[in-house]
Amino acid sequence: MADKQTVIGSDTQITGEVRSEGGLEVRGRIEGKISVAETLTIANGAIIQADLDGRVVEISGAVVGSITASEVVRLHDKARVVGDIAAPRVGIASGAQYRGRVEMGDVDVAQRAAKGAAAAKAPAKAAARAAEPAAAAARAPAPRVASVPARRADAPAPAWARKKAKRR
Amino acid sequence: MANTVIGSGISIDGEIRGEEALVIQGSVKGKIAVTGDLLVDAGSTVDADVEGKSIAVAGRLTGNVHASDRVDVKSDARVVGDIKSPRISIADGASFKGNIDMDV
Repeated sequence: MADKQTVIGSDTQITGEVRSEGGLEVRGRIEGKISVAETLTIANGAIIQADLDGRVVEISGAVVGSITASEVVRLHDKARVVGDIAAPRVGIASGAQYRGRVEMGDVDVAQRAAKGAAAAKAPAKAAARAAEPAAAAARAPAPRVASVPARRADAPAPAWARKKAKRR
Repeated sequence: MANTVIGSGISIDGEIRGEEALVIQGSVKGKIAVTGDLLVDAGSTVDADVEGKSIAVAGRLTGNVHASDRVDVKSDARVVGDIKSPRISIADGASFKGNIDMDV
């Protein structure tokens, strides 16, 4: 492992806000908020009670909180997640347990743009309007994802989720 | 090698607790309490009370330092705060302001 890589070890707990200009791997416990400029990895065994934000978010541990990514969120087969996900691409592997709402596509980007331009009202409104149809489209498949994995971990949801991700 | 590394691009605002070794290269504000060894590496900025078994400081540390074994303030370090530990070393070149208490 590169020694500049930040790792929160399995016997370490952080309460508060963690920000990173690079990547971050968490094997321990974090309560609060995590925002990462690059890849955020929640390893198997990690317990997170925080909102997560990153470019790429890879989850194999337990997370309670909402997750946003500017590129992709992937729930791997040992992941247990409760919370909403917003990202251009979302992958949920077979075996992952998930409950929450998923918003895929450009929704997140549009929302971020709207947030960023909050001061300048006109562009914000335009961005919000632009986000609406995409948001509606993203809402439709959400209940399927929400209802499936909790009870049947090996249900077909991951397959289409992956296919959908690939199509982009 | 420490199990937990807070890299140079990381900033934490809050509390870190652990039962393992911790290396800080980034910035931490709040409180740090580990039962293992703690290294506040060169280039790091820590604005927190720190607690550990053996604590080495080479970065900038503002806050009280409490170690159950020893505290080493390296030559590049800048420390403002009280140090409490059975054994303390301060290298030539280090800057330190605060009280020292070796009577634990």
